[in-house]
Amino acid sequence: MINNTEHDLAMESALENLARSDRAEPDAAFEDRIWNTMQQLPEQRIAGRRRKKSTAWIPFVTLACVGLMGFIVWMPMLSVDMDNLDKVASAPEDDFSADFLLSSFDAMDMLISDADEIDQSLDFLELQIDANEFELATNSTWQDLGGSL
Amino acid sequence: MDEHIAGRELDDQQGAAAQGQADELAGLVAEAARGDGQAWSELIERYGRRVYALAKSRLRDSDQAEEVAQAVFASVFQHVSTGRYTEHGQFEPWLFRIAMNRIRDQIRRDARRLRIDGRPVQTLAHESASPPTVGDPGQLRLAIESMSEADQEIISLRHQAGLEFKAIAELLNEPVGTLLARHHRALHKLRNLLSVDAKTGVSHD
Repeated sequence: MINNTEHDLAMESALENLARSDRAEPDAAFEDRIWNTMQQLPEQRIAGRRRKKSTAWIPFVTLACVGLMGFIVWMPMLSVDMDNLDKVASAPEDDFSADFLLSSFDAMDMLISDADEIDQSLDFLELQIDANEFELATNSTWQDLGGSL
Repeated sequence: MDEHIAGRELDDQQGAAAQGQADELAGLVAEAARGDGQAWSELIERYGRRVYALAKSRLRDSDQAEEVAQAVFASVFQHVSTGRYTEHGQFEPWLFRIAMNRIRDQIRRDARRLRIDGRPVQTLAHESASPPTVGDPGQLRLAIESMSEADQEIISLRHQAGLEFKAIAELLNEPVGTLLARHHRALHKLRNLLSVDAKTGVSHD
């Protein structure tokens, strides 16, 4: 009668043999290959760091882009002479910003000059409306309304 | 009484030997951390093939097993040489934990690839035509492969990696008693799978 311990020992022995054959499987250069892999690592890390440092150009390029954008957007506005609109009118035809400013100034002038006339017209209209309302309130009685029906 | 005293002396001697080995390993790791090439060679010599055998038993592929062994030592080298690993007498469990993580990653990658390719996974031990025997490494390997993941893990860590149960307990964060019981059950299952007379090595059906 074979007990479990003997079974286990036989099984463990077989497993140890299997493990021994697995460990003996790689060739003699196995350890050298591991060592070589490890030796290559520091170089890779240094190369990685260098790649990281090369991102220092990003803020400078961003600033340059922002500056360029500012130049493109604001320079046409700065070229408008606010004191002399005739000079503005002589701006190149393809300069949309200058045209826009010029038309805006004209519209503003028109509005300012016509403002008094518009105010007077509005006052007159309000007076007429008030007079009509008063007339309607005093002259129109219930009897007049019934008679008309 | 004399036997009891002799037993205690034996335990003390074994404990002292284990402590001596741990101190020696700690010294070796410390030298490796200082960049001593000889210490690294010694560590590779000591653990390289054990890591390989562990990976081979789980991955069943020599090339992948060697790649895993290289990746494990590369990782160990990075951690130790940059001071990210601090020696607390747990170098061995730490190294094999890295190995197990790498192996699991590789198994996941293989499983994903198999799903994409649609190839059959593998043939199991009981599908084999010839009766399995303990002495046949191929049959034994197939029998292990047909066991559950937990059983394969304990068998490969104990035998292929050659770890003590204490180290396995530290690696898997489980009590030693649990692992001993699991190992015993795994051996029993393996024996049943192989249907073998352990003493004579004659197989039954």
